[in-house]
Amino acid sequence: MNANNATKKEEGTSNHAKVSTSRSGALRERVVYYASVGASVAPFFSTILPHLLLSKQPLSVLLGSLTCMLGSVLNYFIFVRPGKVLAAAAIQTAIIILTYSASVAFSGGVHSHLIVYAPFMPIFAGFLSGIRGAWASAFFLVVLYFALAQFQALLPLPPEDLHAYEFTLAIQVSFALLAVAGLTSIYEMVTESSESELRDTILQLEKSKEKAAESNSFLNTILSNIPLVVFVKDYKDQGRYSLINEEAKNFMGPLANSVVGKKMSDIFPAEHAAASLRTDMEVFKGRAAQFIDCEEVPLVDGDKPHRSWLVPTYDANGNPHLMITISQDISEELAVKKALEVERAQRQQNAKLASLGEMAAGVAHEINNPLALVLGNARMLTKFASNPEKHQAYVTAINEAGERIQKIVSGLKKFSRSNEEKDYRPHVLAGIVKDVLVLTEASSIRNNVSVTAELTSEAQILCDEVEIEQVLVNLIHNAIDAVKDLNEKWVRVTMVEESEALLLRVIDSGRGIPEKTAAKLFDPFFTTKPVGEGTGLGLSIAKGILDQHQAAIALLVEEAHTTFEIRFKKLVSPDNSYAK
Amino acid sequence: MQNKQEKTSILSVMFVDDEPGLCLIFADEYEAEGIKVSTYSDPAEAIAAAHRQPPDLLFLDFRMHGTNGDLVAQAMPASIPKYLITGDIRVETKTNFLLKFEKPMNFAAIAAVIDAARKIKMNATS
Repeated sequence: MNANNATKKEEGTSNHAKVSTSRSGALRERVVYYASVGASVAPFFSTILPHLLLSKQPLSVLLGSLTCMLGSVLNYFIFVRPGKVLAAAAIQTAIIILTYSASVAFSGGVHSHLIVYAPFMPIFAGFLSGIRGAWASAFFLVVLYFALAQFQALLPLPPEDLHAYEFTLAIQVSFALLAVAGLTSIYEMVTESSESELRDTILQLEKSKEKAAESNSFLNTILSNIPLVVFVKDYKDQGRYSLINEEAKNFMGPLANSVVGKKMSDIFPAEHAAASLRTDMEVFKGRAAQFIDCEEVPLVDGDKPHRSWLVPTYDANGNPHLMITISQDISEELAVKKALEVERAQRQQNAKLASLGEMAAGVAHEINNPLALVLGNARMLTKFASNPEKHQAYVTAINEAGERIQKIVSGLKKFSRSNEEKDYRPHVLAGIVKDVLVLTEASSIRNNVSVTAELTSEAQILCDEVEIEQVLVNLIHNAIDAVKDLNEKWVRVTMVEESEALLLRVIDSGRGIPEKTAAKLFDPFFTTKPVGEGTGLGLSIAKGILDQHQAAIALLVEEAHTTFEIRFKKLVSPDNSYAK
Repeated sequence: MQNKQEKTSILSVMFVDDEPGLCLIFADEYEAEGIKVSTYSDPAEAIAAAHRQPPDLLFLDFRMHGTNGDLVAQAMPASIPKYLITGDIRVETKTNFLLKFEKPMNFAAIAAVIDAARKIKMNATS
C-alpha cells in the first residue's frame, strides 16, 4: 500500500515536472519568437524606415522588409517552434541577407548598408541558437563596428556612403541588441539552470519511479505468494478495505471480489463488524501491533478460524490511517489439533483403562487370597463339623482374612478420595507430628523401635490435617516395619525450615532402599512386606494426598539411612498465602 | 519355614503358596481324600523337596515373595505335571503349567484333576 502511495506521489511529482517543463518551454519559445520578430523589425525601424523616407525606391525597400518579416514568421512556425533551432537561425540569416540584398539592389544597386547590416545577421542566429551563439555574435558585432569606426578609411567604399547617422544608429541598435542578448542570456541562464535542475529532478524522479515500480512489483509478488492473508483497511476512508492479497481472496471465498472499497459492515454480520471495528480502534489506541490468537470469521461458506496480527499505521499527524491485518487460516491446524486431542484423549482413556485394569488385577489378587482363605476355612468348618478342635482355628483364620479384605477395601476408599471435599486449614506441622507420634506409640512399643521427633519449627502449612496424619502414620509404620528386625532400630522425624518451604523427614535406621525397589515405591500394590501384612497401597495413597497438597515426597537416596522427605509449601502470613 | 504334612497314599501332591493359611486348607481338604499332600510356603524349600522326592502332581501359586510361579516351575523337575493356582487374574502361563486354577480355589475342579491322576497311576501300577 505504501508502494502504491509512493507511486501515486511520484506520478504527481512527475506530472508537476512535466507541467513546469512545458511552461518553461512555452516561455522560451515566446522569447525566441519575440526576439526573432524583433530582430526582423529592428532593422526596419532603425535603417529601412529612414531609407523609405529617403530612398528613391521606397516601395522596393518596403516590399523587401515585409518579405523579410513574413519569412521570419514562417521560419518561426516551420523551424523555431518545432525546436530546430540551428536550422531556424540559418534560415533567418539567409532571409535577412536576401531580403536586404534584394531591397538594396532594387533601391539603387550595391550599397554600403549591406556591409553595415550584414553583421546583424549572426546575432539573430545567435539568439535563435542559444546563449553561446548570442554572446559570440554580440561580441563579434561590437568588435566589427569598432573596427569599422577605426578603419573606415581603409574600406573600399567611399566615405560619404557610410552615413554618420546610420552608423551611429547601427551602433545604438547593436548595443540595444547586445543588451537584449545579455538579458536574454541571463534569463536563459536562470531558466536553463532551473531546467537543468528540473531535468535532474525529473531524472531522479523517473529513477525513483522505476525503483518504486520495481519495489511495488516486488511487494506485489511477495503479497501474492505469501501463504498469509493480508487485508488493508483505510481509516481515512471510513475503514474501507483498500487492498487484499491472493491468499485473502482464497480465504474470503465468494466474497473476495467485492471486498475492496467496502467497509466491514458491508460484508460481515453487524455484530462481527462492530466487534472488529472496536478491536481496530483499540489497536490504533495502543499504537502497537497486536496478536489475536484465534478468531472466527463468519463467511459465506462457514466460519473460518484464523489467527491475526493487527498492525496499525498512522499519518504524518499521528492520526489512524491504515490497519494492516495479517492473518493465518488455522482451520487445518485446528482440525489437526482437534484430531490430536481426540487421539490424546483416547490414549489417556486407554492408559486410564490400562491403569484401572492394572489396579483391578492388583485388587483382585490382594482380595482373592484372603477370600480364598475365607471360603476355604468356611469349607473346612463344614467338612470337619465333627471336629470342634479345628473349628476355632478356622474361625480365627476367617476373621483374619476378613480383616485383610476390610483393610484393602478401606485403603482403596482412601485412594479414591481425590474428588471429595477437603478440609484445608492452616496447621502447625509440628502439632500434627506430635499427634502422629501418639498414634504410632503402640506399634513402636510392640516392636521395640524408638520413634523420636526433632520439632524445630512452628511453621504452618495449609492442609487437611487428617490426611497429613494418615501420610505420616503410614511413613512411620513403614519405617517401624522396616527396622523392627534390625539390631539397630530407630525412627527419627526431623524438620527443616526454608524460606519458602517446610521440609519434614522420616529417617529410619535402615541402610536405604535398593534402586529397583525405590523406583516402584509409590506404585499401587507394590509392597516388600510379607503376604497379609501390607496392601501395597500406603505410599501410593500418601503420594496422592501430598500431590493434592502441592507437596512433594521423595526418597533421598544419597543419605546413609533410609530417608523420606516431604517438601511442604510454607504459609508465610496470616491470610494463608504461600511464600512466593 | 517349612509347613509339611505327609500321609501314606498312592498319589503324592505338592502345594506351594506363600500364604500359610491356604497351605493348611489344601492339606486338610485333600488329605481327607486319601491323598499324600506336602505343602510349602517357601518356594526354595519346595524346589529342594521336589528334587529329593518328586511328587505326582504339583500345584503352584504365582505371586510369591522374591519369585513367581513360572520361575519356581522351571526349577522343578520337568517330569512333574504342574498346575497353577493364582488370585492374579492377569496371569496367562501356558508354558510351564497344564492348567490354571483361580483363587478362591475351586476344590471340586482340583479334586477332579487329582482323581484323574490317581486313576492313571493306579492303572499304571496294576
